This record gives sequence, structure tokens and C-alpha cells, in this order.
Amino acid sequence: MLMAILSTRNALLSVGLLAFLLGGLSIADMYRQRPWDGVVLESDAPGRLVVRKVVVASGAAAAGIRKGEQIIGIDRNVLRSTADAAELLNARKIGERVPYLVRGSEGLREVPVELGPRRIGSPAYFYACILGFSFFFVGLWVLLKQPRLRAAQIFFIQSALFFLFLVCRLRPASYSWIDTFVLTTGMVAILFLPASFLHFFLIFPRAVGLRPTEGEAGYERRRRLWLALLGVIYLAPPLVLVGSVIAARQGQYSLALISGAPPGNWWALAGYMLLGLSVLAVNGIRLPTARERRGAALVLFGSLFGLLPFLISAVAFPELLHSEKHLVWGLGPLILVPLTFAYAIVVFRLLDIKVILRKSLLYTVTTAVVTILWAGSIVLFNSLTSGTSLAASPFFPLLFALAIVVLFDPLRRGIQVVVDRFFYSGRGRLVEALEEMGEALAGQADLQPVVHDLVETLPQRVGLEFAALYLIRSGSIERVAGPDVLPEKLPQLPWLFDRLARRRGLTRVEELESLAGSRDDVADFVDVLSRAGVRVIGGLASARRRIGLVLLSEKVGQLGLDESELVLLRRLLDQAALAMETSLLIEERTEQAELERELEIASSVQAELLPQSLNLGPGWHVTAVCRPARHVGGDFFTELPGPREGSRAVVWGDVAGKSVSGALVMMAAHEVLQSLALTHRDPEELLTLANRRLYGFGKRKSFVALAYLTSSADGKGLEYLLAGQPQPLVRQRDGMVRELPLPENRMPLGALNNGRYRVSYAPVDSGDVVLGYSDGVVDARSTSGEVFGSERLAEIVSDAPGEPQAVVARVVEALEMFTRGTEPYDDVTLVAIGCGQEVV
Amino acid sequence: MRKALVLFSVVVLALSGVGGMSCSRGHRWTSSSPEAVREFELGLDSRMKLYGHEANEHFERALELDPNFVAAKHVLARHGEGEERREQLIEELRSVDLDRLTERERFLVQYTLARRDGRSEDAAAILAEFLDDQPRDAFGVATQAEEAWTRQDWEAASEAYERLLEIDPNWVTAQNHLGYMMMAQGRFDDAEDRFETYRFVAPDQANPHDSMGELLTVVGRYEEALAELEEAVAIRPDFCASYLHMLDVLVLEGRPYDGYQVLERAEENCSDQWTERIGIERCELAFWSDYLEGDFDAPWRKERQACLKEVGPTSFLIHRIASLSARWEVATAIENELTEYLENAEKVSDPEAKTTRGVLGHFQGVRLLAQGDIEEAIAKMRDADAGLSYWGQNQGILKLFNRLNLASALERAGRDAEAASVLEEVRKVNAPFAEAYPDIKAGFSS
Repeated sequence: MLMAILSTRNALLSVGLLAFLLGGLSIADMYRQRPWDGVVLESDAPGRLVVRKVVVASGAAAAGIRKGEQIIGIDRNVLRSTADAAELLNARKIGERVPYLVRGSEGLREVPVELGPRRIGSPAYFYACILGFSFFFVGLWVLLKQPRLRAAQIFFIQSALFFLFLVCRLRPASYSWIDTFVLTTGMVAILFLPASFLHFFLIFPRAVGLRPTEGEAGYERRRRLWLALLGVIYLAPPLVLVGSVIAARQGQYSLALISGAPPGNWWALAGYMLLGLSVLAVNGIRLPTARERRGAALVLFGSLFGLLPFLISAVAFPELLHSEKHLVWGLGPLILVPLTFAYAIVVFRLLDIKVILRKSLLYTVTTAVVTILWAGSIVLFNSLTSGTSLAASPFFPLLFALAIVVLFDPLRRGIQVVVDRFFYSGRGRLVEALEEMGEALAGQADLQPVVHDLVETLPQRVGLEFAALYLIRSGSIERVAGPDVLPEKLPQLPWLFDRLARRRGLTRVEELESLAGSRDDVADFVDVLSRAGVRVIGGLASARRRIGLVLLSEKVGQLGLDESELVLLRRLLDQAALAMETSLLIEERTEQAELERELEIASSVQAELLPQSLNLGPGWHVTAVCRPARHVGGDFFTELPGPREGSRAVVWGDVAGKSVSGALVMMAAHEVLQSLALTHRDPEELLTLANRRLYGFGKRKSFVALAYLTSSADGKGLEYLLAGQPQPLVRQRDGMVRELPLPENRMPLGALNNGRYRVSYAPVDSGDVVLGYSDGVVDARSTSGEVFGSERLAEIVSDAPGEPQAVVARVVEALEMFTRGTEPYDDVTLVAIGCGQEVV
Repeated sequence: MRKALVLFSVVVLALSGVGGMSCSRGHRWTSSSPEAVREFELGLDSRMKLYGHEANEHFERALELDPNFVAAKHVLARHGEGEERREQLIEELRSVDLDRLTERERFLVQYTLARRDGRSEDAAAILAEFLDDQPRDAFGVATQAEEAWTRQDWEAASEAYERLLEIDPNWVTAQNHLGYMMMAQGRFDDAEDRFETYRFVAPDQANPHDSMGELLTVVGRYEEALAELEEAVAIRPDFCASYLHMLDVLVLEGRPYDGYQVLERAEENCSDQWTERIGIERCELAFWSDYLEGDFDAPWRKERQACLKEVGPTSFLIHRIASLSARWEVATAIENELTEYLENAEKVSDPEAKTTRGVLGHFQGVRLLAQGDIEEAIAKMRDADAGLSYWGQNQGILKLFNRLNLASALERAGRDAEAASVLEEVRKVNAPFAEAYPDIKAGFSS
């Protein structure tokens, strides 16, 4: 696509270069010195060379040739036409004396005429050249800045044709060899100028309904119709010329020409131009904004007042009055045409005027103008005051210099303000608008207003056809807002997005092609976007993540975004990204807060599950504490019916896993044990069944380390089962600490389908405290990474008073001290059973 | 890039086509030698200037450079020197391969052969066909004009020459012939413009000055006429016609004796073919001297016998002197010569016959007036006036002279008003000549 754009642009530039060269040739021909006699001939005396005027001090004046006389012959040749005269003079040199045969009131006479220098180009031709170059350079700039825009291409062709018409056709013949190319080219321009004029207004400022849009239904058929229409428009004037020539030959009359073209073609020119302006009028009425309608109206009336006098003087007068001498008067108002087009360029921003007139250049010109003004005022003041006492005063130069210093800069700045206001107000307004938007976005916390600003407000401010926003959600890129012509989802292209992120800016779609290289997926992606009208694409990202993509269309009036606008938009999108990140963070925080709330509820529910007190039977005192690492945890303790009638058992468990997952398994395990204990009091059977039950629980394996402890039948010891829990410690009355022996089978519940468990017995004396604990106690870590460990536990238990509550308190305190400054690593459960002590 | 090349090529092609079409296409002469073509064109230029001998030299040189140069052969076949040479060239033209010639050359050859063979109708058809196809070919139109001129169809010739001047305004033969035709019609100002234009285009030619000299003589601007005739011989000392015209001017000015110096110059510069004519003029000068002195018997004196024979049987001056001196038989004999000529001569064109009848009418009128038969004299002189035109110096002056005699006859018939009117007409054309009226009138009184 890029190559196609470049080749079209190059083709047009080639034509423009040729036109420029021909124009230059014409001007050189007009303004080079050539021999001349000083005679100005009547243009309304065909076939006769009647003197309209004799220039004073010319060779003809010196020879006595007078107004009204007829030049019969020059240089020993009888003349048939002014062409003969010009050719004969061109063959001579300046300064030569050439014999003339002149018919005056007294008859024929021969006089020698000395040839002087002359440039054929008249002030009227000079003015026509200025007009022509105005058209040409305006068109050239538009094409260079918007090479892919069809309206810009047609505008350039039209400008080049206007240039050729004005510079190469509206000129007197020089009868040199250059005439052949130049005048004929000018005539060819007359043939195609009206068609290009009409063509331009059929697609600018909006393409009329006839012109098909790619992707629309019946596109191919409508495209063929459109091309056929254009063919008719462009071929009609040449056919009018051919028809006129054939008619003249058939009728055996000589074809009358007006500036080289038959009257039929001039009428065609007039008709096409009026039709083009009518199309502009109809188009203009339908423009969406008042500003655009005003701009279109200005172009319409400017073109009308510029073209109408020219058409009257170039078409009507020659036809009705059979005279071309009024044609030059029609040139004057023509200047309105390039001026109004230039204004339309600014209004519609076909070309932002700041590109033509960069600020530095503009300010330099301003400074130069002010300097010239000051220099002029100095000269004027000097001349006014010369000879006066003021001028003679020695303080005068000093005062004048001071005046310059004081007033110069304020004047310059004052003019610059006016210039800025005129040329750059549009840009200023855009900057202000985008700054406002940025501020608004910065204050936004909700996503919807940001989306609205990006997709609705931004296009209006910048003048885009549309903007679309895609957000990354759940790993896919979904359209959140934007026209339906865009796809609902975009493909994941990490490579592309990395590139976009690296470029840290808005990227034009056609530049993506060069980034794509041979990647088909990217090329397809770019193609889809291009067809939908996307011209610029940018990534939205924060420091933490990619948020999404923004897709922008071309501007209203088929315009593109220039670099400075892209920079402004990038900043705006950065702010939008920030706002969106804020909104997403708030959303996440809200979710998190809700989650925390629910966790707290869950924690309290879980806490309520744990019994307030545990009872193991008379003579036994139990203290238990369970501290989840998170809101909820996987540790628990509970009381179950004992193996014998009236007996009780204490169970403490530790689910593998923490937080919610652990808590849920904990709840399940708790419920399993409670339910099974109702019908199976035998601890071995109970654990076996619980194991089996927990083994099939859920898809993911969840182990539950459990300890079961009940008083023995004789009341002098404890019967216990360990399923994965650490060996409880026994603090003897003397402070010695020992571990309860490990049972043979001690797999956590849910680890094996056929787990078996055996009750173990441990004698416990009065005053002993049995401390059961979960591995979260010994696995707790300090800030330095040191593990609490079982030795430290044993020491603390040994140092603690010999009461279950005190032991638990000591261990809890020691744990808190040990783990201060760290997040809890695991749930902690302590169950202390005292033998023969009161429970507080 | 391809689009750019295609577009550029189309544009260049279009402009080349335009440029090519705009380049002038002139007729070219078929020759293998550019030098031969140059000599040929110089020859055409000399012919235009009426430098016939010089023109033929150029054409012969062209043939030397290219023996197959058909166009050069054609011109020499028509205008070359020597009948044998012309015959030879005609035979060569018959064997030319016409297909290798340009259309113009083909026309010229076929036309010349048709004319040469006496096939007038064929020649006319060839000319008509060529002009149908190439109506703006200067050579074709010039041929048409020359044809009309030759048969003295002045109207057709005038139209053809005007058309020729539209095609090539520098075709001086057309300017010259049109000038004479206008002069003949009494359009002296127009004729003067033509000769002035001719003189402007070809200042190095003697003929325009000579033509202008004739015109100025007819309209009574004798000094200017002499200046022009002198200019003619200054350019071409062997332009003998101008010497003869000078003699007439000197006679009109009443200075016949100055004519002898002119004759000496003519003898010096003119070729041998003019010797006889110079001899006649010398005798005429002598008779003019006698006439102006009133010695009407002088021509028949012994010392003038030789001149009498020299001037020939139809001398205007001898007839007049004879009429004024009542030598009716001499006058009648001269008239009879003209009558016989009119009755017996073959191929006398209508215009020539008309002029001869005009001269005859004048002679008869003068004799009858001298004899006293006024009414008859008036009738004859009126016939003479109708038959004579202002064509050239001789006929123009004769026409004016005839009118002065007519005025004299009318006065003698008591028709003074008519006489005054006739006199006024003469005065309008040539006021100085009108002043000679009393002398002319007096001649009939003596």
C-alpha cells in the first residue's frame, strides 16, 4: 500500500515537474529580450497589421510610423499576419535597422526602423504567472503532505492545469519555437481543467453518494459506474474540440478560436465550473458542523466571484463582442480562487498552515517587517526633521535609539500575537481542548467516563471520524466502544504489542506494515483495520500491565493526523491509561475489600466452629488455641465423643493448605469427623472412615493431619492416634519434656485410600501437661528466616508453668516474639491437656 | 514508478506529435544533391526577378550537379535558351519515372508535356486536377495565373494572382502583373501600391523600378519616373527597357535631344539583340525633334529616308506628321498596315486585337480630324479610347494623347462641354500632359 501511494505520488510529481518546466520555459520566452520595433498592433484587425500605438523613443517612432497606419511589410517581406511580423523580427538582432513598408494617409512608403529590445511579457502576464504559481505551489504542498488522499491528488492535478492554463495559454504568442509546445500545452490544459475542477468538488469536502466506499454492498458495480462517470467527464471536452474541428471542415468555414480553443470548449469550461460549484454548494449544506459549512460557503463564493468575471471576459465577451481584449480584465478576480482554496486548506486542515509557515520563519518575517517599518520611519522622520533644531540636537540620535529600543520589541510581540492568533489559533484550541480532557481524565476514577471521553469527546475535539477502545479482559482484547464496523475482538499479537509499547507513541497503520515484514498475521490485522478506516493505533499501558488499544480514524474531511497532533494525543492517552489503571485498581480493591469482608465473615464462622472449651473428662483440663495464618485457616480443634460411653476425645487437625482452600477442607474434615463420630466411636474405625471419606473429597487431594486424644479407660493415661500431626510433648511436673511415642501408622487423613490407624497409649502423671501442636508452631520463621523448631518449643514448654493454659500462653507469646515483623507462615494450633489441674 | 513512466511517456508523445505536426512541411524537390536544389532555388529567384539568362545558368548548373533533376529540366524545357536544348529536355522529361516525383513535380512535368504537345485541354485538366488536390500550392496557382495572363484573360489572371499573393505575398511576378492590370484599369494608386510593394520586396531588382517608372510616366510624374528608371539601370545596366522608357519621358518633357545620351548608354550596356531597337529609337528621336520644332516635312527629306525605313510601316509619329502635313496616302498606308494585320495575322488574342483596333482608331481619327471630317474623327477617337487602356507607358500615354485629340475634335465640332470633360479626364490622370493640349490643338490648325 505504501508503494502504491508513493508510485501515485511520484507519477503526479513527474507530471507536475513537466508542467513546471514548461511554465518556466514559457516565462523565459516571455521575458527574454528580443528585437522589437516599438509598434503595438491592433488585436481586432485580423489579417491587417494596424498600428494601435507607437512606443515613445522606439525605432518605429524615430522612423515616423504613426498610430492608425498599416504595416505592409518588414525586412523585404510582405506580411500576412502578426505571426509573420514576429518571426521576421525574431530573425534579426537588437540594434539592426530593418526596412518597413508602411501605408499611411499619403500612401505607401518605405522607412528604416532600428530594432530595440523588448520583453513580451506584460504586467498582465506577470500577474497571470503569479496566479499560476500560487495555484501550483498550493497544490504541490497539499500533495506532499497528503499523498494518499484522493482529493489532494485531484487538487494537485487541478492546480497544475490552472498553472499551465495561466502561464502557457494566457500569453501573447512569441512566434518562437517554444510557442509550439507551450501554447499547445496550454490548450490541452483548457481541455482537462474543467473536468478536474468538477472531479475535485465531487470528492471534496465530502465524496458524493456516487463514489463507492470499499466494503459497501455492490461496491464493484458502483465502482465501475463511478469510473464510467469520470471517463465521461474527462473525455467530453476533448470530444467537443474534435467535434468543432470536424464541423468546421464539413461546413468549410474557418474555426474561430478564443485564445487557442474553440468557443465550444470555453462554454464547456464555464458549464463544468458552474456545475462543480453547484456540487460544492449541495455538499456544503450537508456538512455536519457550522464551521465546516462556513468554510465551504467561503470557498463557494470565493470561487464564484473569482471565476465568474473570468468566464464572462473569456467566454461571453469574445462570443458576443468578437473581441478578446477584455480577457485580461477577467484575470484580476481570479486571485480569489487560490486564496479561498488556501483558506479552505486551513479551515479543513488539508494542510495545517503551520507546516507551510513554521513559527521561526513566521517570526523572522514578522521581525523583518517590523525592522523595515522602523527603517522607513527613521528615514521619514529624518527627512521631516532635517534642517530643524531637533535634528541638529546631539541628543536626537540618543532619543531615537531609545525610542527604537523601547518600542521595537513590544511592536514585534504585538504583531506576533496577531499572527499567532490567526495562524495558530486552531492549534492552540486543540492544545487547550486536549489539556482540558487530560485534566478531566486525571480526575476520573470510573472507567465509563474515560471510555466516553476517549471514544466520544476526543473525536469531536480533534475532528476524527471515530475512535475505538479495546480493553484486555481475561486474556482477550475486546472492543469496549467504537463503531460496529470494527471487529468485536482483536487477535493476540504479542510481538506487535511489544513493538507498539516500545515505540511509546501512536503508530500509523501503514507504518505497521513495515514493522510487520513478512508476518502474515500482522499483515492481515493491518488490512482489517485499514478497511475499517483505522489510521492510527496506540497502546494503552500502565507500569503494571497492558490495558488495551486505542484505534483512531482519519480526520473529518479525509485528513490525517500530523506528528504534533500525535504527540498531543499520546500525552492524552497516557493520562487516559493512568485514569483507566486507577479505575481498574479501584475495581480490584473493591473486589478485594469485599473478599476481605467475606473472609472476615468466614473467619468468624470458622472461629465459631471451634469449641469454646474442650472437655476430656474429669481430672483432665484442656486449653486450646487456634490462630489461622490468614483470615481463615486449615487448622482446627474439636471435641468428639470418646470411644467409651461418656468419654470424650479431643481432636486437632491441620489441613494441607492455608486460607480459604484450607478452611474449606477444614470445614469438610470437621464435619466428616463430627458426623462419623456420632456412629463410630472407635477411634481407629473413626479415622479409617474419615480417611476414606477425605480421600475421595474433591478433585484435588487435600491431606488433613490429625491428632486424636482421649483419656484411657483407667484414667491414668491417654490414648492417642496421630495421623500426620507432630508428636505431642509431655511436660512433666519437674519440667522435663518428652515426646509421646510415634504410633506405627500415622499417615494424614486423605493421603491413602486404605489408611489404617492404631491407637497408642501414653501414661500421664498428675501435673503433666501434654501439648499437642500443629506443624505451624515449629515451622514458624523469624525475619531472619530462622525456624522456631521443636527444640525451642520444648524449652519454652519446659520453662513454662505446669499448667495447660500457661503453657499455651508461653508458647503463643514466644511465637509472637519470634515471628514479629513477618507474615504468619502457617496456621498455629496448640492444645494443652493437663492432668489433674484446674482449667481456667 | 511504472505509472510515472507511462504518464510521462504519454505526455512526451503527445507533445512530440504536436510539435511534429506544427513543423512546417514544405514541398521539396526530388534531387540527390542539396547543392543542386540550392542552385535550382537560386534560378527560381532569378526568374522571379526577370533575370532570365542568369536564371537559366543556375538551372543548367543544377543539372550538372544532378543530371536527373526533373524540376530543373522542366523549367529549362519551358524557358531555356535554344530550341534544340528545349527539345532535348522535353524528350528527357517524357522518359521520367513519375512515381518517384513529388506531386507538384508530377504536375509540372505532365502539364509541360501537354502544353508542348499542343494538348491544351489535357493541360487544363491536369492543372485543374492538381489545384483541386492542392489548392494552395503556389506553383499550381502561379501556373494558372500565367496561363490566364498569356491568353490575356485579365479577370482570371487578376483573380489567380490575388490568390497567389494570399499564399505567398512575396511572389513578385504577381505583384508586378497585378500592378499592370490595375494600371490598365486606371487604378493608378492601387497600381502604385503594387509596384511599391514589389520594390520593397525586391529592391535589388531592376524591374520594379522600371514598372514604377512606367506608371509614373503615365500619371505625369516625370521626374520621379526618370529617377525610377535611372535606378533600374543602376541596378541592372543592361535592363534596356528602362532606357527606352526614359526616352519617352524625355520626349514628354520636351527634351528629346537628351535622349541621345540615353541611347548611348543603352548601346554601351544592352546586348546585341537590342541593337535594332536602339536604331529605331534613335530615328524616332530625330523625328520627334522635327515634330516638336514643327518641321512636318523633315521625315521625307533625303537625310531622313534611312530612319523612315528604320521606324517601320506603323510608326505612330510618322502617321501623325503625315496627317498634319496632309500626306493622306502615307497616313492611309499606315492604317492599312494595321488593318491588314488585324485581318490576316493568326493567333491574335482578343485583347491584342482590341488594342490594335484602338491604335487604328486613333490613327484614323487623327487623319479624319486633319481632313476636316470632324464627326467621323470623333467617332474613331471614341472607338480608340474604348480600345486603348493604360497598360504600360506606351499605351497609357497613347490613350491620353488620343483623348487630347478627341477634345480638340469636340471643340472644333462646337461641343465645348464635352471637350472640357474629356480634357478634365486627362488632367485628372496626367496634368502636365494636359498642358500640352494647346500645342496638340494647334497642330491641327496649322
